[in-house]
Amino acid sequence: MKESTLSTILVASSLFFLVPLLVVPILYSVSVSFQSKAALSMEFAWIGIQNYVRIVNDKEFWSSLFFGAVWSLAAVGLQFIVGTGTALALNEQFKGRAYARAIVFVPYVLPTVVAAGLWKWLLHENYGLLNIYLQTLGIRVPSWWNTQYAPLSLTLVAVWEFFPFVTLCVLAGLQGIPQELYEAAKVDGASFLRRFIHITLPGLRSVLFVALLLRIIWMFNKFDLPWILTKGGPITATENLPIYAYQLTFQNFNMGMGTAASTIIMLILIAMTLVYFRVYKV
Amino acid sequence: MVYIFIVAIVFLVSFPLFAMFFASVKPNNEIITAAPDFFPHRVTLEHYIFAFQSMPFGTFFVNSIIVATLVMILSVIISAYAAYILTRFATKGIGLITRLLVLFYMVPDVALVIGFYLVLDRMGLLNSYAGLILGQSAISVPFCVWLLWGYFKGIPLDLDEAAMVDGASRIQTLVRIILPIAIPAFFSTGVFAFVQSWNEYTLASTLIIAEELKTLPVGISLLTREGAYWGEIIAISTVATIPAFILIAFAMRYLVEGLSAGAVKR
Repeated sequence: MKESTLSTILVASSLFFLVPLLVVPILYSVSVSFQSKAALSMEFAWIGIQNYVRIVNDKEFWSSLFFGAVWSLAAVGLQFIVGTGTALALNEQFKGRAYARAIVFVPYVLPTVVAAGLWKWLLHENYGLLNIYLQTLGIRVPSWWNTQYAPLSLTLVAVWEFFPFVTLCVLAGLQGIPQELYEAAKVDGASFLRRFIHITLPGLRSVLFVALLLRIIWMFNKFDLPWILTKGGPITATENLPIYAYQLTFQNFNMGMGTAASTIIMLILIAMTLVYFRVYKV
Repeated sequence: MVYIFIVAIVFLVSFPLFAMFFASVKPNNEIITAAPDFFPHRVTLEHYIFAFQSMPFGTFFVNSIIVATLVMILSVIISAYAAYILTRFATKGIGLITRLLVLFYMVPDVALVIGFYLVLDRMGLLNSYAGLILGQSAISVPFCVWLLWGYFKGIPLDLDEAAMVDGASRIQTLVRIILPIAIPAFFSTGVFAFVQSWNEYTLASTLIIAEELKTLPVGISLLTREGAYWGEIIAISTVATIPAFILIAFAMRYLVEGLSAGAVKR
């Protein structure tokens, strides 16, 4: 048969697994969002966009959206600062570099449960090791997990756990910047800062583009970290949209609203991605 | 200057990890105290022993290994196939497909969880290895395809053509020439898929209800909820990080290679 028909068939077959795995659950969940489905009963009724209307009128939706957005942006920003700095440092030659490179990635490959449990313990108000040390340094806080400080602690853990991803991406990207550029700049007497702004950053452009997008998406979607650490609490202090959707589905057993909430999350991210692509072109 | 920064970062990263490790061998009265020390005064293995006996901890560990390994194999096979086809057979739909792949990335695990829960329930695959493996593979495949796609793109088509001009069939080209080159990429992708499945919590906690089938992260969070056995929790957590450590040691080289090989071809 013709090469092009063969191509189409092969491409289609490669998607044979992808499609059922991903598309079916998503489509099914979107269709449920237009129904009033409770628990797992087979009965349902099509109610159009009522679930969405109810969500938009829910104060908790907006507070979750707000917290999720602020938290992910703050966390990603810090991840990038720490991650890029680490990558730059790891790109230099120094003794023990191999060890440094290895240990820096450990937080990222830890199970989130472990990272969460670890920091929950370290910052425990009664016997947290780090809490005790901080107190001896004069930093006293009633609790690192109360309504006031939980968002901060959550951000700290998120940065600790995920900055290595940025480091990995930037490190890989740095390999692609020709050394001659730096040498020429040094000969011309450019300072470190100038070299960074005019050579490194442009060279990292495509890597940063992808890494930034991915990290924002993943942080916005993050369910397990805040859930394990604080369950969105105390009360709703650290509740983001994924937790909101989860609670609707598995605690209130309102499948209709829960799926509607997660569909909204997807729509927000798609919209954000489109805007992102547009802005980055400029 | 660089040295100071690196030392600081390494310290900030290592401190919690070592604290956890040392705590796992401290007796309870040194952990649950208002004045803990960093190093243990007395080293004990009681937490490890107790943890192994108290809950089906060994079962959680085995479950995680089985699930993660199968997810790794399934993900690499599917994504290698897809990535190879996408780079070797150009069709009109390619741009659309790659863009769809990026779109799949934006699916929050909550949405996937809810969707999978409903679908698997209909299929009767809830509470089973198969259901969980499918779910976790679905999550890791898009990124694996992206990784391998970048890598395969870096393998020049002339290589294929040269081999075929010399009389090799497509299959022979694939097996004798392409696959050996792609091994490091498969390795790093497999590592990624394994670790992602090993660490995965959201799907594992929702799709599996029977205790004997639960994976390690779920088991740990169950213990944490009970709140009492900090020593045991810390001990189990330390054990749970071992695969990640080992894999890091092996994959360090391949990871950076794998990422940059696809990106840069001068």
